[in-house]
Amino acid sequence: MVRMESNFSPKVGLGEVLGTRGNLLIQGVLLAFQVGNVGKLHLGMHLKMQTPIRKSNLRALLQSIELLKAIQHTYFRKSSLIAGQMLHIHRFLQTRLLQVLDPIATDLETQVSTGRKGGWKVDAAKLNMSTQATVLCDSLRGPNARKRRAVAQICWDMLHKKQIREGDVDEINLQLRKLEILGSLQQLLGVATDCSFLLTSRGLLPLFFAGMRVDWSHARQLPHLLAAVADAEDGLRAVGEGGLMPEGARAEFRDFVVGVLEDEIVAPLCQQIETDLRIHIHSNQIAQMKKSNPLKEGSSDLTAVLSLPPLLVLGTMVDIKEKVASYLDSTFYNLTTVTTHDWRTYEEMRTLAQDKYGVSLIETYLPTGSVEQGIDVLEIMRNIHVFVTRYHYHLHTQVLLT
Amino acid sequence: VRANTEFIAEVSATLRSLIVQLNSHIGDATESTHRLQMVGLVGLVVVLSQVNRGRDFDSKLYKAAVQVSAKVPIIVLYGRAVLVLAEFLQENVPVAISKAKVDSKLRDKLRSLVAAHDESLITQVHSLNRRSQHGSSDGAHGVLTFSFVYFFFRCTH
Repeated sequence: MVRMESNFSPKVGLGEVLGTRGNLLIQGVLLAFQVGNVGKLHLGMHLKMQTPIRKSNLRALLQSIELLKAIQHTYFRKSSLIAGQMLHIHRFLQTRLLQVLDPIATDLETQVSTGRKGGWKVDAAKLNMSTQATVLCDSLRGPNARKRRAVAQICWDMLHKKQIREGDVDEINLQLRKLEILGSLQQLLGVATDCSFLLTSRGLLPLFFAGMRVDWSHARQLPHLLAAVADAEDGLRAVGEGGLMPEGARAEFRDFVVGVLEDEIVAPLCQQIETDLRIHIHSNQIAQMKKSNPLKEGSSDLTAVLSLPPLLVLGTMVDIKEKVASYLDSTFYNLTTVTTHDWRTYEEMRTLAQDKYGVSLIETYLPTGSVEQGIDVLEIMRNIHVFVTRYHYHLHTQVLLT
Repeated sequence: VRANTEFIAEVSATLRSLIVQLNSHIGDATESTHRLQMVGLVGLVVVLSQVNRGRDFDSKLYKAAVQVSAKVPIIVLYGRAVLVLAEFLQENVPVAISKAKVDSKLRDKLRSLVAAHDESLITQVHSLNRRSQHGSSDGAHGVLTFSFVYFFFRCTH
């Protein structure tokens, strides 16, 4: 609130706002470079030295990947706002440069023209300096295009700095670098947040997923991790388009990622939820069973992973919640058909799953009339020929009709 | 080109100044694509040494290039491809140093660097994470530092 008061004050000038926004855009990219360098250097050093990565460092590595993708997504989410303001930020920085350079160019021009008027021989070095300063100023009066930036940088490098104050030299160097970064912001951001190194370090994926199982609240990192894996697929696509890769490599990679996600996240999650439901219901039904106290024993927060939106895994949508619901549906249905006398228990577990985890499960369509009727399966099997002649099976309601 | 000693001296001086310039950014908060630029620059040092082969190589230039490798021993090029600066220079720049001795030294140095990086990784990532969320005052060039997230909050105004 304090920041809101201070920064939305009418006293804050437009120049300050644009300057701050430009600086923050640059800072984000530089931060992404730093994060990327830390993670990539760590992996690179271990690959080079053939030494195993410490288990305790896996979490930090995953965090660095998450951070990279979070920065990229922040820029992406605000891309329309950035695009709308970028031109003004460029113009603001160019104006600041011109405020320093224009007097220098004018001064040099005056010296040259005075010399010419007086009939004196104009120093070639001064003439060059004047030309360079004029071209530099001209290139800054226009869009911040790549060629203009290159011209401005060359002129500035060639310009003799003896007539310019040291503080101004530093200021111009800084502003030119800012213009360079902001002018190629998209490319730089792409380079800084590129996680294609995961293609060669794909062995880390099962470990990253397994790390999320320790504390399910870390599952919120899944969308970012999968976005990073998508960078690896982009690399494969580029190589594939050049015809340098066997066909099916992309599909193989996709199958690997989906398989790892299924094995390390979906399957353990389904089993954990089923076990949890069983313990809950059975502790109420069986008197001897010890009741669990989540306040004392603690409980894993599975809602973080179940509340995730459908995940885009290399072009395939994976809805974890839907997969859990499907698993519970099939499990409860199968177990009810095997042990029909337990139908009430599974019905309670189904209701609890809906209440506790918010998963929507379908009805088992096992009519209460068809269970607990004392049908002896063994007797039926012994006289199956009689049974088949007397009964028909209704596919829709899944009951046997006489 | 080889006969033009002035040109070679000029290139050598330019490379030295470029190395100093890149070295000031590498490992700093102002670093962007400087590591990749460094790869090209080290390549140029090797080209210059090949052009100048048979003569004494500019030891200042060699030392400046080696100094960078102390800061960044390994540069990741793509995927598993990495460039070990000291190794690359040692193999391609003919200088009068006992190779076997430097080889073992380099290996030990890299091993100790890996161990040091193992120790500091968690702290580094936490610090970067904090900076991304709250900002800090150690930004480059006296850049005003505000929260990155806060910027976009303001943008939505």
